[in-house]
Amino acid sequence: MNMIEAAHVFYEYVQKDENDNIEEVNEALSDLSLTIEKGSFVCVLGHNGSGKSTFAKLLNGLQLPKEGTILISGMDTRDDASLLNIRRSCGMVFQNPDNQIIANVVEEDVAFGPENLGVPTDEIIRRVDEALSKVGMEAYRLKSPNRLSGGQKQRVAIAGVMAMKPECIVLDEPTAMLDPSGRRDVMRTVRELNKREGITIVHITHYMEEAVDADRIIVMDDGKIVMDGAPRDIFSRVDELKELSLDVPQMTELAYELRKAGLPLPLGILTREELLQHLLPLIRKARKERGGKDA
Amino acid sequence: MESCALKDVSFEIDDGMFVGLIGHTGSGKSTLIQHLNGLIRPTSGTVYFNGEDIFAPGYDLRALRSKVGLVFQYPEYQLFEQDVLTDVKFGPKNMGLTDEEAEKRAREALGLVGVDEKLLKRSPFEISGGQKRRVAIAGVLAMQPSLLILDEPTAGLDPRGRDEILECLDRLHREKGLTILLVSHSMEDVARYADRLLVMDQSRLCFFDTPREVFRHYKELERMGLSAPQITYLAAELRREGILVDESMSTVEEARTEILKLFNDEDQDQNSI
Repeated sequence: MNMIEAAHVFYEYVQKDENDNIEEVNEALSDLSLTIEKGSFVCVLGHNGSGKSTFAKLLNGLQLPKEGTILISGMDTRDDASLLNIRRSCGMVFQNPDNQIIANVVEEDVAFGPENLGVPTDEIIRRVDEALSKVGMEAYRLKSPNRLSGGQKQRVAIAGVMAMKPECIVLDEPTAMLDPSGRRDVMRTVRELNKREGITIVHITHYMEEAVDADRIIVMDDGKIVMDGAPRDIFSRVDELKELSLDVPQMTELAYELRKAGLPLPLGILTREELLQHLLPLIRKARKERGGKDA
Repeated sequence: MESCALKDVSFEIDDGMFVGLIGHTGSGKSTLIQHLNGLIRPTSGTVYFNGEDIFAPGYDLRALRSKVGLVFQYPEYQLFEQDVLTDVKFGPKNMGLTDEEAEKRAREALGLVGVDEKLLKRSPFEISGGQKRRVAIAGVLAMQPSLLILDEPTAGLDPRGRDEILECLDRLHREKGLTILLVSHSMEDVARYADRLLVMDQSRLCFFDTPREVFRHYKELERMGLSAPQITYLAAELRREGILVDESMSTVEEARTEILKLFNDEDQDQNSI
């Protein structure tokens, strides 16, 4: 069974005036269909207003499609009886760490979800322990969340989701407000949850570097999916991405520029290692041809 | 409990510089910038603006705050008026300017940040995130500061929104001669735009130099929870392989030039590669 199945999904934002007359209708998603396999790590890219966040909110029934269906582990988000199970199996983490922490002590915050589900106390304690250790925050168990850095707060928010024993976590720009070390820690945590625990990850981001080691990248524009493929394929299409107001990773861009200048480098170079692996032989060859005079 | 947010920080910013301020969360960046327009008074030491001690008795701090414009993080949360134009007029009107003069300045400021005329009568809450951010910056520019300080003005924006803001700052710097102090978490952005970098770590100023010089110390930057741009690491790795590219290259453009140089020796035909 697929983790996520979306079929012909439409969603629109309707703006009404004081008298409830429709002023404006913005179609945020238009005929979107896709499936995401269990255990995969999917990155969603797209500029602001492309429909990414709307899509994310449809995944656990925070919003319902106007047309079409969304199935989470086979459960329809429009089915009220499944909603609790959907929210349990598909957790969400948002951009602003300060908006999603509610308790005064880290462990209470992480326990909030399972408490609401009526999980027995000793089981809650076990889950909190486990969730905090999975995100590397066990040392902060009894600390106050407002003393934590942004990256630590996000990891507590992720632990809160993990305590619900989810199958899938949807992260909507979780690193946008973090400094570089916070960003690294959150990404490391998310990657480990995917690899070790098999949690399906849907990660929405503006940082192309974070998308490099995803299994799959989905690019959205104007409420539709415009590209869908492995990072190497997506980042080979530098001009198209730029047209969509997106970036490419810096190494990809450099390789692309060098290729345009005539160096025989392959498309879709993603990392420093890959660039060096292809560039070093070319440089050595050029040197040899020059008779090694500056070697 | 007492904790020291800044320790013995001294530096001088010349007119017309574009300065990047980097440091991890809690390193003292925000505290530092709030000293520069007198919002925070130092426990000891002082701040000079155009040679004058801003904490001296009788110094006009109100006037200073229009000359040193401070754009806080997520400034769009501070938009409050019914329409964009009125919001931007708020600052100059508060300075005691006539409605007419305030409007002139507001329109000019909105033009500088590239906000379309059509948006002036729209509610500031109905426009996109990037537009809101630029309106908020216009609100500060309308006071016609000579030093503009921005605390992470691109946080949370998409690549297009980010580029729009940075290019706008670059233009203000080049064409209007505005002095800019940009707090940023993006090493790539400061490498590209700033002519000087201030690096804060644990309440101290660690470096104040050109980006190229600062990024040479990438190992120390990493110890501070920072990093250098990707390109700097590439330079280090090439050099480790015995390929002597300029170790201080830090932008894609610089790397492109440096690497192509290796192939374009004077006695080698460019077409042969």
